[in-house]
Amino acid sequence: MKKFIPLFLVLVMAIALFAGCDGGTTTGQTTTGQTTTKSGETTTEGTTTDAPREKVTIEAFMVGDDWVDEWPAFKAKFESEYDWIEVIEVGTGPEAGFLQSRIAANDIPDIVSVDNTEVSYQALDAGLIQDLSDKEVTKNIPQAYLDAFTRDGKIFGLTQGAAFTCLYVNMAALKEAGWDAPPADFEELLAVCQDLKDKTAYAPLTVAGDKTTTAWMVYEGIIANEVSPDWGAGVYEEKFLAGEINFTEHTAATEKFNKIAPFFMPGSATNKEDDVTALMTDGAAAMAIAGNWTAKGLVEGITEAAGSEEDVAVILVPFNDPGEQVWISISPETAWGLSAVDEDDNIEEAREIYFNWIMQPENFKFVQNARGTVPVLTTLTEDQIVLPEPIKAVVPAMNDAPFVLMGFNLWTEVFRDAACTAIRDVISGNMTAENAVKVMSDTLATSNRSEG
Amino acid sequence: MEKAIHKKPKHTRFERNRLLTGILFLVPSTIICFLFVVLPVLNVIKYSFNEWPGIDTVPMKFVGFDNYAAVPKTQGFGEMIVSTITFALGVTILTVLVSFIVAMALDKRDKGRINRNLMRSMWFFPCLLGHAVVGILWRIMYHYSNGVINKTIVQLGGKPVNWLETRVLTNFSIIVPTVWVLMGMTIVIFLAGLQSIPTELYEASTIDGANKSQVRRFITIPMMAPSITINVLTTSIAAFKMYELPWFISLGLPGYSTRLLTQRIYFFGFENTGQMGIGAALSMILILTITLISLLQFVFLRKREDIF
Repeated sequence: MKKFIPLFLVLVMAIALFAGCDGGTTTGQTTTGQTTTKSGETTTEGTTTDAPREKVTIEAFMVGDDWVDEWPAFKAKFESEYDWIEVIEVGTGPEAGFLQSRIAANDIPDIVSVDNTEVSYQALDAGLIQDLSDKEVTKNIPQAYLDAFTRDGKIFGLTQGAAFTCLYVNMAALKEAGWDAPPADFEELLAVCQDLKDKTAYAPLTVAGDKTTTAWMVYEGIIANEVSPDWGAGVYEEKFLAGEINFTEHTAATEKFNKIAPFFMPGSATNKEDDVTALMTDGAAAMAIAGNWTAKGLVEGITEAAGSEEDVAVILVPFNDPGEQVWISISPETAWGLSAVDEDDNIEEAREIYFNWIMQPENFKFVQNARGTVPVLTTLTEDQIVLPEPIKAVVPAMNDAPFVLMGFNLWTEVFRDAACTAIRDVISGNMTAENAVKVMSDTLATSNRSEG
Repeated sequence: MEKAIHKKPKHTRFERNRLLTGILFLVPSTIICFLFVVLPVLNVIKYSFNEWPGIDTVPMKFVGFDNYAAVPKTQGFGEMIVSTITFALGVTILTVLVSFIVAMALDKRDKGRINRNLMRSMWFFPCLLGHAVVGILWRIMYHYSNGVINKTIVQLGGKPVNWLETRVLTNFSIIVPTVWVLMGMTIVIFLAGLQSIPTELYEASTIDGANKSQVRRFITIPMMAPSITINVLTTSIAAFKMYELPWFISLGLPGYSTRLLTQRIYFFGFENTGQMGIGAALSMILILTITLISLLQFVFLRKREDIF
């Protein structure tokens, strides 16, 4: 009798192993939901079927830190409209590591965050992401933003908005330091920082160094304002992609970096975006370099610290020389792509329905207003957009400013790691700008997108 | 007349059945071990000799030892090695030392102490927390402006300390929470060891006139040698394998001074560098390092046990 016990165990294990290899198919009805198109909008109604549908679950890798609080309501709204589809959030925000590990297994979540990064290109090239060219919802996105997510003629993502770099200013702090207006150029920025340091208890500047996009913003703005007035639009990007920028040659930029670095509050190199919001809310720092996607929290925080929204100023980061126009860094924000992985018909239908659903203005506004970014969906009406007033004020200036593309559109991961580590070290006083730009130049020369 | 020789069978039926039963009992764990340990390790070895971005649809290109040769040339390699060794040594020494002291305190057999079980549970509690959670918690505590540690220092009249951006200090900042997490299990092992020491030994030594420090030196520590061996081994292996806890605290900063080998493996393997081969080569270095150090410790500490 005793020998049958292990035999039984072996059998159970073998069955369990093979049971896991059935591909996870879902059987059931495949009634297609109705799709209607009117005045450029696509609405997909999946609840009009006669018989109850078998429940399916789809994966969404799309929730960023900046709108995670809205996610439960967003998900509940969708699931109340389509009771046969459950959406589960996977990953931890748009992190490349998660996606890379899924791609390695030749798989991808149903709705997936994509950027102009190598990992997204790999997913597209491997045929894991759909070409969205024939989707109705693309008609509601400006062509420039579609172009930004087009590779080899395929649209692989629809962006959530436009991102750009801002300087958030607590004017109450500046007034205390003797300044009635925010700084207009780099010299004024240094002077403001010095006055804040000498005359107030505020730390002059902070940044979310933990996030590579924002850590890079510090030097990116400086180098863009240094080289782009001479090079003209588009050249910086070309040279960057080809690995042809030698940062060490631009000594004026390096000098600027050395000058501004000591004004960053200790802890800035490891701050998260939430920390920056907390610091501005507590009135610990007077100015923050941050993306417009954190506008809502930062404006609310500074308002709390300063006592009035009138004392909140949002401006383009003044890394420009006196008399020169300011160059900014912008980027289409993280986009959403659609999985092309073969699945059960029900799942494929559910993912299509969900993708169309999120791009409808009445649903997209959850994300839009939580982040407070510049709207990109043309079907959003004025009453659906709730932008903080100080951000509204900077949008025209942003639209007029010449720009370079944000780093993550251009760099390799190896460069990102080396450059952002060096920048954090300069901000925290552990490295000189000269050494940092040397690291960046050496790394870019050997690791750039043209190298493949 | 030739005498018939009756040869005894090599194995009786009973023995054969028992052997078969034993083999069958081993099959499930062998399959699991093969699928989830042996096969992945074989794959890692294969990847380490190939250039491959980590995507199924992209074919691998055999490059021999190129990945191993490229490892020392990667950014921050030297600092990373120093950091990994410092971290592993610091964590192992502190964990074992502090756990031993705490276990001795918790093992006191005197009456009138506060509830021993409660104290044991409190020491064990951090061990139940996820490493990422602990990392985030400590990062918040270390925060320059808002962290409870600096706020306390300021309240006491001191100046805030930049725990996460100061060289050497940041190494210490990642070691302390790791020790805090790992201590729970090592204390349990030490307590089990302490409680297995026969009371008669203590009684005999007291009758022979040994004082407290002599009892500790000549009875407790020698009798605890097997527990020390197992704790040093498991803690050092855990320290070498630690990934998310220190990462969430320091991001590997300043420079690469708190970047660990495991974090570089993840970076090359899974952060889209297209260099899975280098990640795999680093993994092989980690496996060999842990094996070598474990063997050395095992041999050395076993010898100590024999001496004791």
